[in-house]
Amino acid sequence: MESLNELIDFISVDTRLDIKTLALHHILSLTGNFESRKLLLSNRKCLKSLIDLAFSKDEQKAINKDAFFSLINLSADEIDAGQMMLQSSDLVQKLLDYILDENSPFSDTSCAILSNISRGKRNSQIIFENYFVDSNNNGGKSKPTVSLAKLLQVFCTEKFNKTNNLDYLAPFICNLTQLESVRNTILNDSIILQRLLPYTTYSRSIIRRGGIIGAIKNCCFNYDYHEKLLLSPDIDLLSRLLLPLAGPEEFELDEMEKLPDDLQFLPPNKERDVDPDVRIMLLETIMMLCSRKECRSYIKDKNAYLILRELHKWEKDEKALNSCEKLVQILIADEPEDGHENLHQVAVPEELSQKFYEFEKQELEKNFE
Amino acid sequence: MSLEAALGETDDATLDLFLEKIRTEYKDGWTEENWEEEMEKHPLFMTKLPEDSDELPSCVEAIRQLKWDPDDTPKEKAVKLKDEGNLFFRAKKYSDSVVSYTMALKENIEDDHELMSTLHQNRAAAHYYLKNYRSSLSDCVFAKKFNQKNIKPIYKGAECCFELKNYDDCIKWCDWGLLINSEDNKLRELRSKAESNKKIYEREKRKKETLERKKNEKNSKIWNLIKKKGISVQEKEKSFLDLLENPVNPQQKVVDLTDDEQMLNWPVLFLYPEVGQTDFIESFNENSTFEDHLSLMFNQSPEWDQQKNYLTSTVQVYYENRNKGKLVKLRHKMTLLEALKQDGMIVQMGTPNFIVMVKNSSFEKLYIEKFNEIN
Repeated sequence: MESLNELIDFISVDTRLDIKTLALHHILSLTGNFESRKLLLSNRKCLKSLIDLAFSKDEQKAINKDAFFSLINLSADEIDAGQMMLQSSDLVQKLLDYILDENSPFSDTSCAILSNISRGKRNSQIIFENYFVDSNNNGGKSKPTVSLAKLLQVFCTEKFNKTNNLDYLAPFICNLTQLESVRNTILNDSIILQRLLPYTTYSRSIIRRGGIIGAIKNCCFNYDYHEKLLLSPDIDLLSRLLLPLAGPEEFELDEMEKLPDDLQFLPPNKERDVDPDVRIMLLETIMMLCSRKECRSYIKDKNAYLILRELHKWEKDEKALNSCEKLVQILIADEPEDGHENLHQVAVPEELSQKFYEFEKQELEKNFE
Repeated sequence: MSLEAALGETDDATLDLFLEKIRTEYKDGWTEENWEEEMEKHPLFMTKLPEDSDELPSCVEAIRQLKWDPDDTPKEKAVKLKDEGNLFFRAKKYSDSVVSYTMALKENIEDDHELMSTLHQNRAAAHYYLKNYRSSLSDCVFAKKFNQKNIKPIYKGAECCFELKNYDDCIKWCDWGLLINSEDNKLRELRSKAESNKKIYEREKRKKETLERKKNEKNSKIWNLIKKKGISVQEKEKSFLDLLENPVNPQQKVVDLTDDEQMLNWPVLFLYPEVGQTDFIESFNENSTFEDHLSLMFNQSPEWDQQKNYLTSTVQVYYENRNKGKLVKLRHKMTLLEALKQDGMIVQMGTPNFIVMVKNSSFEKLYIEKFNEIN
């Protein structure tokens, strides 16, 4: 402990470059381990020094970089990350400033730290309420300059930053959508939706794609917006969710013409999303959209079953197969009796609920065997 | 000094004097002899525009000077030309306004970014109404370049891309505009419209590609089947595939697959050299025999055969052996496929042809002799 404190003393802006470099290297390697992360975070000075080094314009780039990487690692565990964020009130602001600066060389690392420390609803809430303009800001510690719309616009601008791709902004945005006010902002602006939705088929980065699909899934928890999401031709959510699940199979013309426009005449080299977790998220999102009667019949009319049928033949991943089957069940089953049209509002009797829980648990355990 | 001013400060006597002074004799009046000539010089009445080489009539020169002062700076000239363009524009004379704006842009005003932007933007609008969407779009690019904060060329640019069905670019222009004003309803609506139209447009594009691909796949299948069955065609693969796309026979028929994709249906030409006639069979299945078709064709004697010489039982089918350069007899019971596999049978222009003559006729004998002589 004593030696650790000594080490931390060396990573100050005033230390000689060679010693500082070495000490920082050492700290960075320590941040790879859960126990030492706890130790480092317990030293108040450590965090402050790392932040100073990371953002100091006087330091060499390599020093900035090592300090940033140490911060990413330190923010890896949710609880510690939250603690860290509270300790350093201006860290979040600095990170946001870097992300919005198109010339910053450390935008990506900033995004990664933010996406780490925003995990957990409470952490997201603290960030959003204190650092964003469009939230009900109660005079946070520093004056907020960022709006959600601006952040999303930066995210959707190709090559906004020439050296950083800002992909890690996607999981940060996804984390923010845990908050209802963020979801409402997104859902109420069709332009924002129009810009985010194409990322469901963004093949270059799974981080970007997964983050945005996660955000869209979160947004679907606002059931009142389902009809808007599905039925507005300029949003057309169903196409965006089905397209990554569609393969190169050819269909009979009359079958195919019932599909949404985007799903018709797909080329023979069409590929499904390679990531099973993404496929599961997509399936679960469609499942949520099946909750209301009108939406369910829309999805049925659009022949979503056809895509799922082919997916089911192709799918190898157990869990994804399971999600696919559940969704198909809803689409091919008879409509529920009157009073139970809205599936998410159906009250499940306690005993059944217990049975389902047990069943799911068994299923999960089966997967671990 | 104006008349009114003079009145204000003089008495009647000086007024008389003043009137006397301004009264001049009207010398330039038109006479009976020269009125036609004078009228032609007057800008109001002239019937044709003065040539550049001509010395301008004084009236025209005067009007010209009112507008085009030779002492004008390039900027003043450009602004006047711009105003002229705007006048034309308002009168819906869009091509005239394009000329005015173009002349204005030729003035040396590069440094005046705002004016450059406005001129490009105005010309873009004129081009837009002329449906010259590409020219309009290129002017929008310049208008935007010279003035980043100007939203008008962004509207036009987005609209041009929309008209050109380039929906991705339309969305890009809308997004540029939304950077200036994120609440702009016109751009938000246009962007939404572009998103929905893009879906339909891209579906059509994919449909076209799919149909094209299927056609190519089918044509390759035909080619492979021909090769597999051992049929010789004169053309190489590429020109044969071209031939399938653009058939040369007047009926526009080409060899086609049967539904099970195992057999071919050929267009076939029968030639009757004796009477200078032909018969064209649009779809001759490879497993059908000559007899099948001959019996149909000669069931009723054709118009050119009043003597009823041409009957299924009286005719002989020949093909040309191109390796040996001679005519070879084919049996009626032979199928088309068997015939096509004969030695020296080469299908030309995608259409097999056969010569039909009356068996043992003098013409047949003569024709074969002549044929062998030539080859």
